[in-house]
Amino acid sequence: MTEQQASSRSVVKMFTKARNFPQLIGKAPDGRKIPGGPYTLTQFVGAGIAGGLLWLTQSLWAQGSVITNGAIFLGITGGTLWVLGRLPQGARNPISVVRGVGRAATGAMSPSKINGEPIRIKRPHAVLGSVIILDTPPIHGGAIGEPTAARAPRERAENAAAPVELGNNAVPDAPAFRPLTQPRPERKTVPAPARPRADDERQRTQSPALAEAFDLANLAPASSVQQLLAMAAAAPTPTREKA
Amino acid sequence: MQQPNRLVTSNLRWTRSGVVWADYVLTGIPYGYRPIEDRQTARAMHKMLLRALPGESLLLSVAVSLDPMTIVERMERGVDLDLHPAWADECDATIDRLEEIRPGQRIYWLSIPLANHGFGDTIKSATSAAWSSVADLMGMPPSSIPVEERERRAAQAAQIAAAIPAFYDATPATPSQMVWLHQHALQRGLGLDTDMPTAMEHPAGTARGSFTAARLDEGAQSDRPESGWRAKAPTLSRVLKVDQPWEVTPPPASYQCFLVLAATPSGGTLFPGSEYLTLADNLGGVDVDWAIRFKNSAASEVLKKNRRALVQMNDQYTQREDELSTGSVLDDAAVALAEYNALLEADAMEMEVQSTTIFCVAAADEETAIAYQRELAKEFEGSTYRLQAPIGFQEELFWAMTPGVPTPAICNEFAQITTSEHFAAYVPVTRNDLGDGDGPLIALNISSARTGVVHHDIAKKASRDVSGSVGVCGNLGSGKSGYLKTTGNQVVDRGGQVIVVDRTPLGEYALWAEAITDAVVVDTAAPDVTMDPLRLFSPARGGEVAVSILLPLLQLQPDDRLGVLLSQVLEPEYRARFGNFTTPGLVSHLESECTLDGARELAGKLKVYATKSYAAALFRADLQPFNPRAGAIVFRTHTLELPSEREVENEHLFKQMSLQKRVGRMMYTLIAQIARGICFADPNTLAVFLLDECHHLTRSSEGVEIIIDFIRDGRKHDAAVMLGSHDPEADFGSETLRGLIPTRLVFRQTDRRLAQKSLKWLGVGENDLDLLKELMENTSPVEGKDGFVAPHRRGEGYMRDPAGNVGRIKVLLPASEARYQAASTTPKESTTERAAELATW
Repeated sequence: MTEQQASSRSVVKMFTKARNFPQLIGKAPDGRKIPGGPYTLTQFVGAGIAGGLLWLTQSLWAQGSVITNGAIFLGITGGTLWVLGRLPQGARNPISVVRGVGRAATGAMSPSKINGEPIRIKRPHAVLGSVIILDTPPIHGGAIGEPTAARAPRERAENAAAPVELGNNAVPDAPAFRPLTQPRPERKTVPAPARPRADDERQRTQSPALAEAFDLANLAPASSVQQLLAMAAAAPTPTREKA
Repeated sequence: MQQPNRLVTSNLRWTRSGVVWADYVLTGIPYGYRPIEDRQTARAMHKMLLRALPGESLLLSVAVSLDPMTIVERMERGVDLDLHPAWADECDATIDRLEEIRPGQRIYWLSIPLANHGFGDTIKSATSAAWSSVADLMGMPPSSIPVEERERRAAQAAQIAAAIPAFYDATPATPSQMVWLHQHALQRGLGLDTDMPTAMEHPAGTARGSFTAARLDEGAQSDRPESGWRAKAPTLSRVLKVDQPWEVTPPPASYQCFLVLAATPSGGTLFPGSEYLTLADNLGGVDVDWAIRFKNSAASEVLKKNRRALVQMNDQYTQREDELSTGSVLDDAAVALAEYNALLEADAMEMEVQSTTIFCVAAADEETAIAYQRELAKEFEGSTYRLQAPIGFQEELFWAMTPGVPTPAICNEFAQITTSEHFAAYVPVTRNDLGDGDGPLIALNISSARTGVVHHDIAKKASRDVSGSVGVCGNLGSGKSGYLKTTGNQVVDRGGQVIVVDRTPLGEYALWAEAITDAVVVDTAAPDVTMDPLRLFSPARGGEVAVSILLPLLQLQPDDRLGVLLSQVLEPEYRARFGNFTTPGLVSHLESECTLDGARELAGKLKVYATKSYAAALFRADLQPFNPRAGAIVFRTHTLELPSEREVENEHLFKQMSLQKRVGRMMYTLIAQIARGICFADPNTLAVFLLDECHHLTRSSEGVEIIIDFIRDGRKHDAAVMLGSHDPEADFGSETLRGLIPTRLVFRQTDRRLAQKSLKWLGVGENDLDLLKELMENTSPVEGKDGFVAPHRRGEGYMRDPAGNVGRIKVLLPASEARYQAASTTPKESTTERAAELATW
């Protein structure tokens, strides 16, 4: 390194220790020396708490003679004093360390949070409840099918996400326009056209354009429950043949 | 904890705590290999920045991997790929290569909480924040912030921004950038980052929903097995798992480890060399984000605190007077306190900077994240800085690195205090950027372990009124010719033209040119095309060029009898009268048809050369002119002899010069003239004159003039020159020429003198011993006794770009296989370059 460079170099430092130096207590307020001192604040407070607790809970542990009790009292208090004295000086606040460890230890118990909201996961359970499915008798130009016919299949084609309509009368509508000569249809449900698979959010949110285009009754199944029902109904599982 | 933002507009965020934060994106100050004066300036800039930020602030540095597609898009910018399929191939091949290298960059983000002025102000913002929390709880739609309030805060933020030195180019962040930052925090270590949106995109507000919710899981408790005792026991792991398991396609979980700077070297560090934050870039392949929570206070306040500390200290001396020694701790503290007080009192503008530095490493799994954490701590330990990962506080530290969150309590435990003057020496906001914003990718920026990319667009330089010319110097086999070929290749592939002088006996450049394009190779020894200027140029220009090369060849003065005659017969009108004779025709014309005085004498002089084989390219009549529009034109000059410097400067030696040397000298000038003619012809096509071992041309003053012409006027004609040499002082002609080359590259120089010259030319301290040593010994070092450069060390060097930025680079050869082969293959038994060192890299 040249002269010029050496002179342009300067020492850089932090002055943290100028204000954060260990605080020790070695003397009583009257100036007398405290035996065994000086003690750190942590030692002082820690041993004080230990001693205080022991004093208050004498009824629980002070069963023996005065000498035994005295030995236990001094032993535990002195032990605390000694252990706390081993802590490195000038390091982190011991209370905060204890808090951190405590938090790490109890973190396992508390439910995980999403955006501040605790999420409590319920135990796995079966979804029960029996359902009776009634087959609709074939009606030629029947009354039930009437509104379906009026609604025209065009809407079905456009509204691809609505494979089946769930009317108030929980029974799947039979196509009203079925020619008379044909035999009874094999399936009561119409196989659902494949759901449009889009990668973006469109799949989850409902397009406002769609909502405007159809009146409420004709809306595509909006809620997830409705979607599930729709998918279940569309699945090509054979329905029980029951009259 | 909830994400802190309540309302975001322009660069302001109203947060749940009631505080308004203003966000800015900063640009780093050029640092790295800058000379010491520039580093001092950078330090001064940092001091001013710190003093402009009273109170709390958060400085974030985000390491983002550059998306290979983004880099390739920069390479493709302005090039029609349909017209240049070779460039499209090169770009495609570059994607794969970049996937392996994972280059990155740093983004600096400054977030400042705006102070509330007065009690009423505080109450108002607190009420507003409280109301929004209540409204949230009750499911009411979020309310907006009154326009007056928004304007008032914007003005307040602008006032702070105005105090930030202009060098940082503090740009107000946009809501989309804030969302990007939030997203980045959720997926650290996964390499999923997109490019940060530019300020121009989506300047409007953003919905609160854009700040995606995430699950923060301290200790990765959710990874415990379902059953067994482990399912109940805490993991006690110092990691924060961030995931979004409810998404339809959940992104992979990010495991983040946070470390805090717990101790700095007790005796202090030397500046320069104190930039501890650059240590975070030394972990190759690991993205380290860092944040500094500042709390700056005015000297008057600090002096009060110091006085209190002094009282305490005196008390401590009393408390501990019975100890045999009060220990060095208290004495050290007393010395530090005295010095600190002195510093604060000496400068009225001085401030206390209280800082907590937090680092974050992350990975896609817990083990890797923990391993990175250890590695980072070790890296800092090596420089006697201590990092700690406090257990149980990982989530708090996550929030400490998030703008808009009040400083968590844990930060105060690790706070370090110093003056702004001292903290500025840690120069956190720096950059080592080199080269252009787009254009061909020429090298990796290896100034730090965080590899960057260097683009260099010769063509675009012209439109920015800078010459695109490049000078390269380095030892044999240091990567010079590899670089020249690669750049030449890029010019050709992007629709430009290169004109090359190939001195090598085996035709290294000729082979290369033929491999990459429809090259014209003009061999001056055995020509199959002519170099006759009377056939290549227009009649008027051809005559001028012919006179300018024939006069020195024949050692004639322009104003003596034969000199005048030569000019006369090469006049376009005169030539037109005699059927536009060519140079070979000139001889026969002078011999037979010409009636002017001295024609026979001149013919005699010309015939001396006309019959020589080494002058055939000029005097043979049966040759056809070459296509001056060819992608590459290579002049092979290995047989030409050149006069030595003494022969040129010494008159009697000059007169005795051999014919070969005279022809050699003439040929070089002719080549330069032809190159100039071709390159300057079309101002819309980039044409580059590529000269390795350029001393052959720069030895003659005509050659130097032509090259200076290239650099000075080239940008108007889209022409540039690329010079390769060993010794920048001896070979790059005059002082003017050396100074005029804007882009300079220096490769390995093992000789001390040459290395010093190179560094001087590069513009960094030639006396910087560390740099000198690095250039001589640690730049593509030749290891082992057979002189072998390890493949991964090839092509290392230094670059200075036209803006004056200097950095360490590693030159990249072409990415596509065929181009790579062409650029890296040196003909066997070549005498100019050592094959072993250039074979592959």
